[in-house]
Amino acid sequence: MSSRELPANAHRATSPARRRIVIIFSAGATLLAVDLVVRRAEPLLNQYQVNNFEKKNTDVSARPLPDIILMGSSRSMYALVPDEFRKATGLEAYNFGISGSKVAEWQLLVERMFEQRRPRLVVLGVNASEFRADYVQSQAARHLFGWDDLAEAVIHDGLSLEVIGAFARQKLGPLWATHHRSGELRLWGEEKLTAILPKHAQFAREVRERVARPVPHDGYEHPWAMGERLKNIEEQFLANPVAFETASVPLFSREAPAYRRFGEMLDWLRSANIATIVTYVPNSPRTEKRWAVVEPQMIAAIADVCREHDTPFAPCPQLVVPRTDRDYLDETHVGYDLGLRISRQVIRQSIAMSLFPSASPTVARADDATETQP
Amino acid sequence: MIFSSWLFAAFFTFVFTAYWVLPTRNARHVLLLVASYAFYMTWNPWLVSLIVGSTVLDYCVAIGLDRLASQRSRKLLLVASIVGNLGILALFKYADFFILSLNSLCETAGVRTNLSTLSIILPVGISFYTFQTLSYTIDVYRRRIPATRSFIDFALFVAFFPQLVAGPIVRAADFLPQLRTIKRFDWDRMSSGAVLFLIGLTKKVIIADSLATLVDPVFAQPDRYVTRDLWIAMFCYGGQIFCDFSGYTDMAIAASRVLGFDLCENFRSPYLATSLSDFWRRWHISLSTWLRDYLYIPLGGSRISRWLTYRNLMITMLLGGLWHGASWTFVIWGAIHGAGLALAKWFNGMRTTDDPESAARTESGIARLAQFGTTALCWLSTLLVVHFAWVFFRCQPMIDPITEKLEPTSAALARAGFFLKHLIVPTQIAGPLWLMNKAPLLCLLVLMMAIQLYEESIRRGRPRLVLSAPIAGVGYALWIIALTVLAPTDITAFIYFQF
Repeated sequence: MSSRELPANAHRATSPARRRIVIIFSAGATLLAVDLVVRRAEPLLNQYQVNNFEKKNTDVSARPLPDIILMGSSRSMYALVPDEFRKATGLEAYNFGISGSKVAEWQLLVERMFEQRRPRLVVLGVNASEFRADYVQSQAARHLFGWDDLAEAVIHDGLSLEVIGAFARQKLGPLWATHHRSGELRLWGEEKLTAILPKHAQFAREVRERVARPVPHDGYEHPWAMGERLKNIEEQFLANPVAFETASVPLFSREAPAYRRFGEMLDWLRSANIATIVTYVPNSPRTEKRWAVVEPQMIAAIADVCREHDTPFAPCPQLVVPRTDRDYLDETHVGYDLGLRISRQVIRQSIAMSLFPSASPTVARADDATETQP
Repeated sequence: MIFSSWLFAAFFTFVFTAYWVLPTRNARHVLLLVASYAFYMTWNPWLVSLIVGSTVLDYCVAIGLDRLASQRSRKLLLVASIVGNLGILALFKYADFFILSLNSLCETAGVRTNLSTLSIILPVGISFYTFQTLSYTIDVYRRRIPATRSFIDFALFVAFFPQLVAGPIVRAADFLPQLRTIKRFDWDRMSSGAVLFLIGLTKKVIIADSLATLVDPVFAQPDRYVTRDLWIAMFCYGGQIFCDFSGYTDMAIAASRVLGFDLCENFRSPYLATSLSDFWRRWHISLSTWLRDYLYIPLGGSRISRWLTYRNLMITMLLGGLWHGASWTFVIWGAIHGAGLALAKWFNGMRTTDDPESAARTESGIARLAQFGTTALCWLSTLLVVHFAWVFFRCQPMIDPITEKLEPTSAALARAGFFLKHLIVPTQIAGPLWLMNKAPLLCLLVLMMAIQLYEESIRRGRPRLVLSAPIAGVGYALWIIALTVLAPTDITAFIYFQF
């Protein structure tokens, strides 16, 4: 019987085993075909991929290493202003803050980036959140960790389902491109659906524009400094207290792997003859109040590690760097003016400790300058 | 470990493979038991001891009940089991609630008390496994089932991981016999299980989690939204809780099915119910039948006087509400359902007449139309009562974002009161927040109703939609891709885990 003569419901008469095989085969073929299309659309999807590390790494690799490297997470990305360091010392400074990174990533970054080329000073901005004993998944990790790093982490920090799971996702994820690029696929789709999802489309467009923007010459970009009028915490909270995102209180344990890694990193920097200063990037007063039970202990523990490894520590207390909630973008990220004040405090302390090769009188001038809210 | 996480996918792949590779029934049961405890321990390794304790207690009590002939001794053993199980539940779930309620009661009476709360961690799924073990002991006491001699089998019945943390509440009479046979790998079970898992996953990650983004802000601050938005949020919460819970149940049933076990049905298109009693035959069936068999009927059920029946309904639903959580808002939710059920019973009692002509009348077209109108009206009123009650269910005391302290229940009740009042009375708000920018999400409510209508039509004997094999294959693949792309990146826990 030819296929034309088959009754309309012939598929119901096929054997279950055969039907099963056809379903599995056609589903597999479809998944594979879509995956190939997604792989081919990589340049298009890359337009939506926010990747601080890749962008900054490519930028720095293509030119001589700046003299002063400012490092840390997104907190440092906003709080340490390279231009202030340049004005104070006449040396080139670069902000290498990476969103979502923590001590484990900095350690790897330092050892890889400074293996061949060494800066004259490393300023490391830290916060209690980066020393938390509870695991918080980090996007930055996926760009840095390798198998040997995982083995090292398991040997030293113990077996953690979260760490192994995150690592497996990084390594196995690219095998299924549709899933691996689902975030970018979603943004691409949302931008196309402007008529139905105007707010989502606007967000997707903003992401694409942000990704397309080249890295500034000193790696520093703060929305307030660039004229974007984002609400400060008070304004955000008053606008919609429920939607306001609070930073989760970290879990403190002096045995947390971050402290050991931090000490190892400071040792490595010392053995490589790279002058280093660690500064505490403070949380907003509102967060300090919520974290009052753990944050002072964590700052003391960070100071201890710095002392044990002969590294200067600038804690930035309220008395030295006064601040209010209005100085913050959100609970943990500083506004531009506060970033300037924190940077100047670190510069003052670095000068006092003779960490800079030469101090410049412009520091004092920068200190006296009138600060204006952009 | 959440069903919709990659960690569960890895865990289940391992358990599934090892289970079907193992040759003997006992080895498989040991594997499932170890896996179940490991599954629970990913939340809190210490709290698994409560499950083990409850298992040992009820295993021993049941064997004692089986062996003893003296009714007095048997009753004592049963009481020991009930006190042990409910004692654990009371301590871990209700102690703080009772202390806080006592404090406020004394304060109202002008007596100063300062009893401090115990702040005990709430073990995930404690209400589910406690009810499960209790039903076993009671059934053995009633000599409806014999006590099992295999400790492994009984422990697996209590801790079987697909239904351990949020049900369905399985009866020993249904589950234990399934452990007596060795399972054979069955492709039909595999394929139907896989499809059911996809349905559950879709309900959870696409519908419930998306609706939550619309619901949460409105319920947290109803005073910042206009009346229309309150109505939308109320119906969206109804959709969210149904898809969240039934999605979990679908995944639990699917995971069990591919391992060769059948769990009971827990939902039957509940939002198509035409009365509250119909709703409870369709919603969380394993709980409602548990409450019926072990509380409502022992209280006398409906075979006693009218007023005592109403009382029994109220008691059953109040305790059913309290089962969900230690909060007065749950009690009020139960009270609304109890009162609604009692009212419906009273109304039905008034209406029942032996009219010989009624059957003939329904034959006519007008009568059929009237019948349809009545059914539609009943459906709508049931839907409204159920959703009004959901407002109390959803308005739980919140944690203050600044002080991180739990607000008093009175604040939650005030929020629920405001919400319900302004469903009727239009709000007068200067500069209300705008909910309609999330309007496309309302399509998900339509999808939810479509799923229920389809399931109902299958139940009524309509044949399932069968696509040709290649189209079905492509459809499944596109479904998986849609789930992958549309699912939110954050994994959220199921609402019923807290109960």
